[in-house]
Amino acid sequence: MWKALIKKEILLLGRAKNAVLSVLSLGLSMLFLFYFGLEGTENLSLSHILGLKWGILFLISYILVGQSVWEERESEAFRINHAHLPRFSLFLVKSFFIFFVLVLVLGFLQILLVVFFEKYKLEKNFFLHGSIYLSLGLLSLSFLGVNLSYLSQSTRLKEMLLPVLLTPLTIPIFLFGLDAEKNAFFTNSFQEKSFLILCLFNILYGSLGALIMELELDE
Amino acid sequence: MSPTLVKCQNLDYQIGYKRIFKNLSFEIQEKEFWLLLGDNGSGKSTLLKLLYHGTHSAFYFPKKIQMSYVGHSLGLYSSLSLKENLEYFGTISHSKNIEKIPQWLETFRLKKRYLDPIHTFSEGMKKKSAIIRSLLIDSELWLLDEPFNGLDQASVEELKKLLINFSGSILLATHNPEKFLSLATGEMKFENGNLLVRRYVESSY
Repeated sequence: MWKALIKKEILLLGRAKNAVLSVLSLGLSMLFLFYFGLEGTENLSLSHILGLKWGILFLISYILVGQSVWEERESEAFRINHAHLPRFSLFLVKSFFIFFVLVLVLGFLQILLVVFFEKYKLEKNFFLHGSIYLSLGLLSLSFLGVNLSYLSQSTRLKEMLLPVLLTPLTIPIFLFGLDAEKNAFFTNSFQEKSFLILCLFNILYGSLGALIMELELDE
Repeated sequence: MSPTLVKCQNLDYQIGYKRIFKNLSFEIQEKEFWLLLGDNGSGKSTLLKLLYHGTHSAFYFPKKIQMSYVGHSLGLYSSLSLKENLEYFGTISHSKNIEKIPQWLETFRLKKRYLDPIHTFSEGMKKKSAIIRSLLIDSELWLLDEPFNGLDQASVEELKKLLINFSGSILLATHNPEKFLSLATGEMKFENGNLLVRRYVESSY
């Protein structure tokens, strides 16, 4: 069952060429915009670059979640899925798949940031620690995105409502994630407190999402 | 009397402020063929969807049953090919009928389009794909919401044969009941917000 679910997610993303192109063009446009608009005249500080990175990842997560949930809704395939599979399994597979894609996007983004911005350097400790905070932040974003996308499906606005729901709830993730990454760079140490808080966000959003999926949200 | 598959007692349901059903009751036994009748917007599709989900407290299932469903929406991923869709839904429903797929493709003349994405199909072909998807499940109750819409004459005849040979119970929403009067064991008709249940004959159990 799990294998079939993962295969379905891969196939759906593989066929969504528009979404993949949107993700690429959006990420690159934002980078170019900041590079030519700001970095060209005055070097951006590390805080700005980290903020830009998290901002791009947030927008990309929205596109990925929106695309994925549209596929489920378009011909009501979700209705058949719900009759045969535990709903939490659908939630978990979709969330982890989006997380995995976001990690790939992040890898690509890290290279571009190093190339474009002078103050962004991937030193070993910063890279290792930063990757942990980023991964936890991205997993929270995925849980939250998929969870809210199913909620938005039961409204008339559908996916259009997603960013409105997503934005306020992602602010704490940004605050703690960005802070931890910044501190990791300046102090070169592991931020245990931030790590635990981000873990808690994952547990909260993950369990909340699985719980909400079990509720009836059809009409 | 045949064993009961599902019993619905005093179903109340509303969407927003609009009340759709009030005190709706019926029972479906094994090997029955029910027609679900009513004007547009009377609640036929909503009832079928609710029954398919089966989570409403008004529904009582004496034993766990498998249901399959063909609705107005396909229940297929339109970006994926028919083959990918059938493989996926066959796997998640633990289908024992996967080996029958070539036969159904032949029956509904979809063999040549097996590898094409669903979104390239015509309305009738999409409907036939959804019917095949529903047949994958070895179901005891087949829920069909106006399944003949968009089908060509040959496919209508094939679907009728499938309905006749189906071993479980059927609940068929239709606007053309006269075609099925010889097969049906009863009818449920929405009239002025009420569901009138009339059993023609006992089930063939």
